[in-house]
Amino acid sequence: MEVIYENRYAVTAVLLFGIGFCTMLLKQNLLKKVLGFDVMIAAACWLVAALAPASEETLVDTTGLMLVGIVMVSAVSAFSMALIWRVYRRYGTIQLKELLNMVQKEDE
Amino acid sequence: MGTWMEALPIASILLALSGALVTGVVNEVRRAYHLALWVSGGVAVLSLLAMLYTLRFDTGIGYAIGGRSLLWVGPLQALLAMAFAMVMAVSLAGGRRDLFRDVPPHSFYFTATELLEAALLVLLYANEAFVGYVFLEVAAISTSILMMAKGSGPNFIGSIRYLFMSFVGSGLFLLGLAFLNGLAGTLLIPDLEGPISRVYEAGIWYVPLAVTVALVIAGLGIKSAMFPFYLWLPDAHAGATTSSSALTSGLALKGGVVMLITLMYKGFSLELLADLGVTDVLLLVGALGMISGALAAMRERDVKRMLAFSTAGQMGYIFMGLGLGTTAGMVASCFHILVHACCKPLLFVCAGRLSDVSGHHRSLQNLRGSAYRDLVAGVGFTVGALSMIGIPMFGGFVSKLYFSTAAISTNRTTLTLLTIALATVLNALYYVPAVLAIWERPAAEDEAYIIADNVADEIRRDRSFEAAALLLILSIFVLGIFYHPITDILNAGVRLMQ
Repeated sequence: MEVIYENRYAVTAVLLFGIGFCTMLLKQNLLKKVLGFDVMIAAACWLVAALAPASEETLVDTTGLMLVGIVMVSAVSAFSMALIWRVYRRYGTIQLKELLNMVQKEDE
Repeated sequence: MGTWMEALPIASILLALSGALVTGVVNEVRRAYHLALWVSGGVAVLSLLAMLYTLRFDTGIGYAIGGRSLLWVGPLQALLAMAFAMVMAVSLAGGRRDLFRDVPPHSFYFTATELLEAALLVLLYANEAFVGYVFLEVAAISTSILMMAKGSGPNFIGSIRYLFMSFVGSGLFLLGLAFLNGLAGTLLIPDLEGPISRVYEAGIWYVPLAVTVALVIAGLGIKSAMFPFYLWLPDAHAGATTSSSALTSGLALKGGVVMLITLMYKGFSLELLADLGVTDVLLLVGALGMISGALAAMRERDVKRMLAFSTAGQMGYIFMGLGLGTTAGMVASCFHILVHACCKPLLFVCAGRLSDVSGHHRSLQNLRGSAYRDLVAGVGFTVGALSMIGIPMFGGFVSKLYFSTAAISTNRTTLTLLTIALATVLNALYYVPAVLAIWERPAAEDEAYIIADNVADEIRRDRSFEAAALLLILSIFVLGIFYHPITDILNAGVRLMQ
């Protein structure tokens, strides 16, 4: 327990990563998958900060890495949501299984 | 003179990024297409000059940004950059007619191609792992835009499936980088080896180190269609426009692999990876990819889906070469990256052209006799197929030769040679029927049915396609016959990476 408390930021980040990862893999709703990705990458950026060696020099580097990572996840999420909106306009649903069935019927 | 030559690689990245911006504001598709060709040609020339410079002076070119050397260019990186730029231009030219038909104005298609080019350049030159992560995401978005360019429903679904698979890879890779930063205190690739070796020798953090390495390699492998993460390939390729299929298979999948090569060779070291057992896992995954990709391709009747599964099999060769854990294996993998980057776009552009002259049918049954309707496409498809099988004098044979030679000095010789032999036979089992089909004249009523939907505008000669196909055919023969200078460059590049 002491070890977990001492590393509480890293442990929380890993738990959040796991939640985001499972959401992305297990949910059928495309929007929820994207939100899972957001949480996952934000948690990974947080983990970079939590595990980085504690010194003034690395603090600047780590902050820079985190900011770039968060900007990247924002860009990717925005693009994904635009794509999901196009899919919804075309098929009227954003449930992955229903979409795959519709595409299969179109191919037949 | 040395100073301006040393600016060539960074100039090529800036050229690609500028090209992305400018093509985004150009309204007309034709103008944007020509601009994209010029930019790719420019990047190829700059990369060629950079390769000659690094070979001449037997040195790499480093770029310190913010006090840290974030980019590093050697002959290997410059050669691959030149090849990728050439393949980009040729893939666009080869699918030009389909592009002008399928791509609407203001679609940012050519912005995506130039961003993909810039991302590949940075991934080749990356000397810091996080820079690699950023441009892996840029490459993923660009590839996704390329896939959905046609705007049809199946394209969107294929694009989404690719994007979410890419998300899984990105997440695992970034998690691995977080642990790596914690273990080594840096993400600069050349500076990783010392701290990682000390951690391994101390023996107290063996499991975290193994997990970190596994996460990084798994993340990059997933992005490069490593077994079993390639099931999105056929859906993404089947309905995409010809150039998009060529670029996705020929180039986009290589981004993760080149980053992996840099990290494996400069960051972790091959000896450490062998001790951790990672190379054995890569070898196994590569072998399974080779066999399963070929088996899946054999079941397909749609030529584009068949080529997509073939891509998965060919990526297995590359991972197998990395899994041999030797410098020779790494050189063989780099050579196969070049061969595949030339062969697969040739196959896709030729398949696209054969389909266009066959009423847009894609099944092998309805592609019968298509080679006689466009001889260059028929010859190109045949050359690409023979190269993929591994017939002597074609590039694919040389890469198989190098893989086999590299395997002899390892203790995995039997497994590797048997897998290469089996994969060769399986490749022949689906490529040979495809080649026979396009050269088989169907019965008159069958041919009438096939060409009933032909559009006069689309079946007339396509000089742009012919030039692209002939250039790729020539490059396959160069790789198959005059391969010694190329492997000398690869060996010099790998030596300088140490």
